[in-house]
Formats: sequence, C-alpha cells, structure tokens
Amino acid sequence: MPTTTDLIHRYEARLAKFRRGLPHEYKLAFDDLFIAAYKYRMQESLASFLQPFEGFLLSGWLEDHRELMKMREMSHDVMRLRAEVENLRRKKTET
Amino acid sequence: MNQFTCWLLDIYIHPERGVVLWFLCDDGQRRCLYQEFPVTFYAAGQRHRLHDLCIFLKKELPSIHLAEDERRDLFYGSTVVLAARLNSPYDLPAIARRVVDIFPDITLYDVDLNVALRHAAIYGTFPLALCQVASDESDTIHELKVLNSKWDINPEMPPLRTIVIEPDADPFHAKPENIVVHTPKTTAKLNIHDPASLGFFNYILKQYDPDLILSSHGDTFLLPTLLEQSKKRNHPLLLNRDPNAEITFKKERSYFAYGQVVYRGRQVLLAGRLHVDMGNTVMWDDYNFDGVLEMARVSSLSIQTAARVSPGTGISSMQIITALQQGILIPLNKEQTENEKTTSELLEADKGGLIGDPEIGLHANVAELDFAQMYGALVVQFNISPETVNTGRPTAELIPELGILIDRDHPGLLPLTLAPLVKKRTNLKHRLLVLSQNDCRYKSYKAQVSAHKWLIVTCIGYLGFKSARFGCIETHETILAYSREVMLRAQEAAEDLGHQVLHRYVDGIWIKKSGCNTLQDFQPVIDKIVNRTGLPIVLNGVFKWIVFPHSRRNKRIAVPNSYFGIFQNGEIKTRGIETRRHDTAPFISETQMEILEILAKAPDIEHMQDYLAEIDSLVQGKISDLCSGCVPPEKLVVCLTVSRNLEEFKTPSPVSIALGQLESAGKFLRPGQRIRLLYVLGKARARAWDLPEPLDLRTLDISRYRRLLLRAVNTILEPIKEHYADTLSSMPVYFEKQPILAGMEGWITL
Amino acid sequence: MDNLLDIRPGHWNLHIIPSSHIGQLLVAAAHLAHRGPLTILDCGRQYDATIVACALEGREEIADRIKTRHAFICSEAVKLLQTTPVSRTPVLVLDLLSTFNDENVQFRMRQFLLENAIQNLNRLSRNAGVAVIVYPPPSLPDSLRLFERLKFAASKIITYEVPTPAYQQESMF
Repeated sequence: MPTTTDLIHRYEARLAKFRRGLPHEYKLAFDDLFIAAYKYRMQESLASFLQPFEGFLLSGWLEDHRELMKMREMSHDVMRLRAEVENLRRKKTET
Repeated sequence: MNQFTCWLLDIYIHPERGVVLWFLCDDGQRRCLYQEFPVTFYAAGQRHRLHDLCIFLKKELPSIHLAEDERRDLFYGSTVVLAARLNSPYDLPAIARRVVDIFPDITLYDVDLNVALRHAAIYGTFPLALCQVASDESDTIHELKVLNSKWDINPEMPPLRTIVIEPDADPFHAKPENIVVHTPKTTAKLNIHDPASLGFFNYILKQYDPDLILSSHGDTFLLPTLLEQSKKRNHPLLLNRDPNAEITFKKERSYFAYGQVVYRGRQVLLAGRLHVDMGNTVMWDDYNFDGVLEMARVSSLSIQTAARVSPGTGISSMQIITALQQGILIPLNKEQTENEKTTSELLEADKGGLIGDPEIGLHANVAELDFAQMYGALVVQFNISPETVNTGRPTAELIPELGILIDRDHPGLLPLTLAPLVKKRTNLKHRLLVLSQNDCRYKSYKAQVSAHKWLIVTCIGYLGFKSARFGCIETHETILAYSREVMLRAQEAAEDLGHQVLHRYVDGIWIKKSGCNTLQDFQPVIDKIVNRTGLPIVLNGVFKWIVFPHSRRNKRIAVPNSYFGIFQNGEIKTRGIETRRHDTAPFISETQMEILEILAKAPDIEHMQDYLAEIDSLVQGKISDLCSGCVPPEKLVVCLTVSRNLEEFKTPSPVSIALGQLESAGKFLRPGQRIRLLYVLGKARARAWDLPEPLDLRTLDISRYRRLLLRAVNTILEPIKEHYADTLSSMPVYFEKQPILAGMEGWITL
Repeated sequence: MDNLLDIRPGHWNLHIIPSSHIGQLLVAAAHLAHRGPLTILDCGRQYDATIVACALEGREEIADRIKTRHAFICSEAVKLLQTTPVSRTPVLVLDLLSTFNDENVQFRMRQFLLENAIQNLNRLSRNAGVAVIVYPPPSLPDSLRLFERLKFAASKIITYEVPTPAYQQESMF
C-alpha cells in the first residue's frame, strides 16, 4: 500500500497543471498547502482516511487555523498594549 | 566409559553414525565423538494417500519406522499424522525430496530441519556449550549433559585457537600475490603460485591445529584458490579437521528483502574446524565476532552458519527449537493464509510504526528516550503470537483501543521464544550503563546487545515474510498497532507534564522542557510513561544540543530520523546525515565529523558561535586540499549498492557506468554487491575504483566533490546559522555551486 | 475494462492486461462494488485500496463491500482459492501467475499447484463469476508453459493492448 508521503506526491503530480496555471504568488500559497500535508503525515496516516485528500485539506485548514489563533493572540496583545499607551497618555495629559 | 568436561565446537551429520560432535576438552584435547541420532518427520493428508506413502517409504528405506501419531498444529490444534522415524538423519534429505516430488498433495512437517536445531531441542546444546560427556571406546556418546545455559551472561568460554588469513591485496582491486597467515606466534607470507605454499600451509594447520580460521576474502577467493591449487597439484589440503568429511560449498546468491537487493557471497564451510570470513559475515560491521558467537549461542546454529545467515534465519531457528520442545508441528511451507479484510480494515491495518516529523531547528537540553526492545517487550507482555491473535478461543479478550482479540491465557510460541532473549538483553543493557568503556567486557556486551537487537527487530518483520513458516500478517499488524498506541500514550504523558515533544520515531521520543537539564529532571516523565504504557523506557541521554535538519527539497519540510547532536557526556550522535551514509566519500564524512568535534567543545548553544571561526579555518583547509590534489584518491571513493544487472538499467547512472567499465575489464558484480567508484570529468562521469589500469588523478571531478563537501558542511552549519541569524553580524557562508567571484566564500557581513 | 463488468456464473474469464493498466482495472473493480459484494484475491501485491477508495469517492459503505486477501507464494495462492467458499459473490483474482513464476519452487510442484488452482477456479465459478487477471508472462520457458495452461483452462480470454497512436505530433521543443 502506498505511504502517506507517496499519496501526497501523487496528488502533487496530479495537480501540477493546476499549479502551473496559477499566478506566481498563488503558487507559493499552493505549495504552502502541501507543506501542511507533509507536516501532518503521521496524523493523516493514523486516521486512515478513505479519501486521502480529506486529510490534506484538514491539515491545510489546521495550519491556517493555528496561524489565525496566533494572530488573534497577537491582536489581543496589541490591543492591550494600545489600551495601556492610551492610559499613560491620559494620565500625562491630566497631570 | 570415558568422561569429559568439554565445550561443543561443531555438530554435523555422519553418513553412518548419526551425528558427529567436536569438543574442546578441558584437558586441551580436541575430540571427535559420535552420537546415534534418529529423526522423525510427519505427514498429513487423505488416508488413501498416506497409505500409498507408507508403501513408498518402506520400499525406499526398509529400516524406517512408521506409526500413527497425534501432534499439535500451531493453528489447528491436535492433528492425526503419520510419523516416520529414520535411524539416521543422513537419509532424510533425499527421502524428503522424493516424497515432495511424488506426493505433492501431502503436507509434510519437521522434514527439513537443521540437525543442530533438532539436537538443541532435545539436549539443550548450542555452540560452545559446556558439556559433561560420557563415551565408549568407539567414541560413541552414551550420555550428554549441558552444564550451562545459552542465556548466561558471562559463560565460561574455551580458549579458541585462532589463525587469521588474508590476501596481500583486495582480489577485486588487484591481483594478490601472497597469502598472509597470522598465528599468535608468527606471521607468514606464502606465495599463492608457489607449490611449496600448500605444504607450508598444511604445516601451519597441523602445528597449530586452529579451532577457528578467521579470514578476509576467505569464502570468495582464498580458500577456493587454495583448494583449486590443491586439486591441480594433487596435494591434499588439511583444512578440515575431520579427514573423512567433505568441505561444504554454498553458491553465491542475490535476493530481494526488506525493500532492497541483498547479496550473499559463496561459502566454504569446514568440518571439525570453523571458518569465518569477516567480509562475508552478515552484520560484521555491526557486531563482529562477539556478536556472531552470541547469534550462534541463542539460535543454536553452528558458528559458521550463524556468521553467514541473516538475523531472520536466526530468529526462525529459535522458533523452530521452541516448537520442537513444545511438540508443535513445523510445516515445510507456510500453511496459514490471511483473513479477509474490507477496504477500511485494510487501510486501518496496513500501517507501520509511529513516525512523526521532527521540529526543525536547533534545540537545547533535549532528552532522548526509547522503549527498550519495544517490539520484543510487547510480544512478551501481551502474549502476541500467530496463534493467540484474533483466535476463536473462549479465553481471548478484546483489546478495545485496538479492536483486536488476544488470548492471554495460553503462552504463545513467539513470547516463549523471545522472553529469555528480551530478559538477557535487558540485563546486558543495565550492565552496560554502569560498566566503564575500558572494561574488557564492554565490547563483548555491546556486540551481544547489537545481535539481540537485530534478532528481535527481524522477528517482527519476519512475521510478515512470505516464507516464514509461522508467519502471520495479522500478528505483525497487531504488534505495530500496539506500538503506535504505546507511542501515543508516551507523547500524552510527556505533554501532561509540560514537555514539548520534538520528535517521535517508532520506539524513540525526544522531549524538552524549560528548566529540565539533567538526567534526574526527566525522571518524573519516565515514571509517568512507564505507568501509562506498562513498558520500560530508557533515557539514553540528554543532548546539550541537537539539530533536526530540514529536507533539501524544502526548508519547511522535516526529515524523520535525521539529526545530529552532542550529549552532555560529550558523545556525538548522528543519524541520516553524511557521516552515517555509506554512499558518502570518507573525506567528506570525516570532515563533517571534525566539524561536529569542534562544536562539541562548546559548553552550550550560546557559545557555539565562538567556534565558527575554527570551523571556517578547517573548511577552507579542506577545500584547499581538495583543489590542490592533496586528498588521497581512496578517500574520495564512493560505495554504492548494485541494484540490478547491467542490462536492466534504463538510464545511465554512476553505478551503471562503473558496472559497465568493470564488465569490460572482466570483473563482474551481482545485484546486492557494493561497487566502489570515483566521480570523474567528461562523458563517463564515473570511474570504477577496481579497474586494473592506474587512475589519472587529473580526471577527478574536483568540482563535484567540492559541492558534496560543502553540502555536508552546510548540513551542519545552516541550522546553526539560522538560529543565530538575528544575533550575529557576520558568519561563514559556503556556496555549493562555484561562486561567481573568487574569494566570495568564507565570512560575509549580513 | 468494461468487459470486467461481464462476470457471470458458470464461467471464469482470463484477462491479460499490461501492468500499466492496473489502476484502471482497480477502478473498474470499484464500480463492480456498486452492484454488490466482491471478493478480491491479490496474488501479486497489486491491490491498492486507495485507488478503489478514491474511485468510490470515499463511500465507505460501498468500499467495504470489497473483501481482500493476499498471497505471496504459489502454495498460499492455491490455499486462498481452496478456502474461498462457493457463493454468489463474484471473485476477482489479481496477478495469479506472479507467485507461480518463483523459480525457487520446483517446476513440477508449480504445475501441480496450478492444476489445483484451476480446479478451484472452476469450483468458484459455478455459483458466481470469476475474473482472473494476469500480465503478459516473462519469456522464460516455465512461465510460458504455465501461462498457456491457464489460457487453455479459461472459459474466455480477453486481451487488452495499449493502442499505438495513429499519428504522433512532433514536439514543439
């Protein structure tokens, strides 16, 4: 039976024409999706997806969601810092 | 009656007197004794066909004793069979061949077993076993008792008289002129073509009477050459200690196993004396003669055979002995077929061990843990065996996490076989932890542990092997399913305690946690993992630092089981990089190791940058040596495996080019053999190292070697440079392709 | 590959296909599963469950109608056939002759086993249809003899060839 890595290679080959037709910056995004598929090879293999592409899409989605969660955290930090700066400014104005 | 205390050296069949046993006696004598040894094989089939078989057997061998018997089939339980007892094992192979030919519909059992294994099953014998023997005046053994066990850690060993013989040149590379014979007292050089050499060699054999001849190219060149000379000159060679026995020859062969082609050279096996060819011994590089001895002890195969067969044969021999002792029938061919699986079940079952991608980059204070002989421990702990998995027995219990039924009540063949091996290995590993590397036992223990490892690992793979008699793919799948579950639990246990899991690979796990630097700091996680999995796990060490490099294809894709690092005790460990690859030229792997040795001097990650200048100086020196021709050509030889015959190559590759060159020079290599070549300029691209004509050094493709060297350097330095990217103002850069401007390599300002 | 759908009781057909077409064959086998259960006896490591699963668009309830068993040596291949019960479930035997080309087994034994295999193919085809897939044999005398024997025993032989293109356009580059 093919390994998960073999299956990823198969899909990469199958989608080579799709990728070729993409503008350059979209090609980078496309490649990023497959990096996620590689990254979660072990988890995909554990799940034994009947449709391997489900696993690849889930991996891409998971990576995106992780990035989103990180950005949310950073955004909260930025908002908190902004609030602190505002606070300091107000105090300075008052004094 | 004569009584001896002695060590068993060799056992083989005698045409008339059963078996021959050679002993090294405690009085220094080497004795050849005989033992009557009747053997039995079994047959099953339709009644009328068994009747025909009885008539045939009686006609072929009137002295054969036939009877109905009830024996145990591993999978089907009690079975009525025809038992055929022969007075001598000598007659069995010929009879068996005829029966297979004339009665292909009859199932045969216990018909092709090595006589050493049969003997081991009855008497507990094994090579170099200490025995008490009683024999009569005709040297026939009446009593034999083994005084020690193959599972003893420090068995009393006999002093083996050993000589070493080797040609004065590698026969494949150049024509040897002399045979060099080393005895403990002297070294002699004998001209191969001189007729007097045969007489002198016989003199050495007679004078010294070695128990063991260790050789280099003995199987493939030395002994066949000497024997050919002996035949031509009608001058008998006294290689055998037993003058009445023949020397056994086995042909060379190539076969496909575990995804690659394996080559076994031809073999020359002696009688009454051992011949081990260091170049034709499986796993010699891994565990040398101590490992060979241990393989022979635990498998009960003769030392000569154990040296030349794969660990698969070793573990199969151990199973055969267990089966004989348990009264289990051993089929000639595999009888068990796979159970049917749906598509989902197939996708679920057809998986290997757990292999996760590592976290790319440089990490500090990382613990490397691994489950001690995980597969063996799983088999023994959970009673996993071909006949206990998915059995219909009422005592079988369902393992919910895996959806597998296992009978834990009746000890299986596989656990019974592996349990003492696993116990001995665990014992030896504990001793190695506390033993100094300078202790005289250290090397031997290490070799034995390595031999055990290969036996245990092969045992699991062997279950899926097409010709394994007790092979059962479901058992193989069960062990792997358990192993994945154990690894997931280990990961969960580590993460519960706040550790970051950097890498998981089959039975090993790498973890780190801020504040955990010493061995003691990791004890809580070890205890938790043992608690959660029920299996022992060992802390191999804490890396001062470790790098998991990225794939060459893409910097964001990791490579499982590829890393390099330095333990806190200063030991360097590498996997999957150039130093560990046999297809890397020695010049390159040595350079990479020298870089690691420099980095090992750094007390921690923060101080690694202090050594970059020293590394740069080393690398510049190596480039200079390469470009100025100061590197000896043998250091640039690359060793690759021949995967197929020349005519089967579809596109030219360095291997096919070099293979063609050798064939034109009348030198032939078979699939599975290694070919040595150099990269050269011009259309040829490669040049076989073993061509007769001298090499023109000017033809070497220095540019290619330079690229390979810098690639190996970058493997080590790039991850470190990436770690320091924000903090260093300048660092050495090495371009694998030739820089456009000379002098661009070396330090650049970022 | 449409001929694969023509599995009928009372017959067993021999399909000789190029090895490059195995993927298409497995897709055809997947479509057979739409009709009902299917037994696959894989004698040459040819069955790729991922191709079947993809062809069925991940529909587990249909994919699981296919039940598979594997053989790696010729005696095991015969045992698979012997232990497959006669039923209405069609049987697809993949690469039957692969294990019979193993020269480590004496030719007389391989002949004997092949006769046994043919008897079981006849038995299995009584209630359900059987399709036996083989590739063109290697040009070894023993392999050719076994191949001819199997051809002789089959109810019908269907040979697939790779069509040569009538016109080959020259490349631009």
